[in-house]
Amino acid sequence: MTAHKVNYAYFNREYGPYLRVFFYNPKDGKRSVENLAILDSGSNNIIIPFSIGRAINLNNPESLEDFKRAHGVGGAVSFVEKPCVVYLINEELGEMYGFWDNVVWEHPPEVDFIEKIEKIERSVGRKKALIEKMEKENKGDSRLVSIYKKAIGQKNNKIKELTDRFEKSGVILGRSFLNNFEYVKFHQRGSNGHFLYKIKESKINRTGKYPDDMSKLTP
Amino acid sequence: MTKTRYNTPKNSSKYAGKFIVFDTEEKNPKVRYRSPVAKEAYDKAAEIQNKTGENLVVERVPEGKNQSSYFFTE
Repeated sequence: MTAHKVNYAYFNREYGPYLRVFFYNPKDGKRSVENLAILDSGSNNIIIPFSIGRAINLNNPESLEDFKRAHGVGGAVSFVEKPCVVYLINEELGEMYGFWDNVVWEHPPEVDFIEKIEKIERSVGRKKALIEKMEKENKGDSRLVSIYKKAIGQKNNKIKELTDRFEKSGVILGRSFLNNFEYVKFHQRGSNGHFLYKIKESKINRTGKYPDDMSKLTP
Repeated sequence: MTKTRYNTPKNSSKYAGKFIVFDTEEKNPKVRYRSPVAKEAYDKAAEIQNKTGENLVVERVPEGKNQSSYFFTE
């Protein structure tokens, strides 16, 4: 396995060591969309926001006892631990490498939280379908359409209000992910930086061609 | 040794608190879609990928500068 150099990415006015990853749940065959995940040696674990765990159908927590709490910058957040495959993408070689790991899934401490969100989403879906139907009938300018659009905005704000606290961290690749490397070397001078990594071959659980094999997995 | 550079939208800070969809391989990536709701952004990224075959990433733009780290407590 050769070494790989990654330049720090400049995102939201700050440079950081980002890697392109996605998550996969082999049980359901579902994968997440791709993310730029920050490498953070200050974090113990791999952290995924609520929406990613939901997108790959991680099992719902069954009881309140499954929940744990983590403290960090910005306060405490509740989470559950779940196993899944973290795929690291190497665009240059056209390859992707999957590592089995326990991820920390940020999740509100409510067992039926996903059902609550789905109920709101169904309501948004119904209103969107009605708007589409009215626009096809050339009634797109009617007062009813603007009422529906306003209602969709309110419902989306409600979803944001309920979930945003569990989305803020983004994807963080903590020390448990760094165990998959022979080494990671960070170099930063001023506002320029890069890092070098070399994967430990024995840690690779599955491999594939990128993007061909990725597009075969169900999003 | 292989090398990678990820490009991100220059004007992302105006989307603070929203999920944005873009292509890191474009030289100056455009924000293809934005939404305050994660699922809408994921669905849009998957839709574009199915249509054009482009692989896009979805990121939430933080309101502040720092992403937070979490430490284990039982």
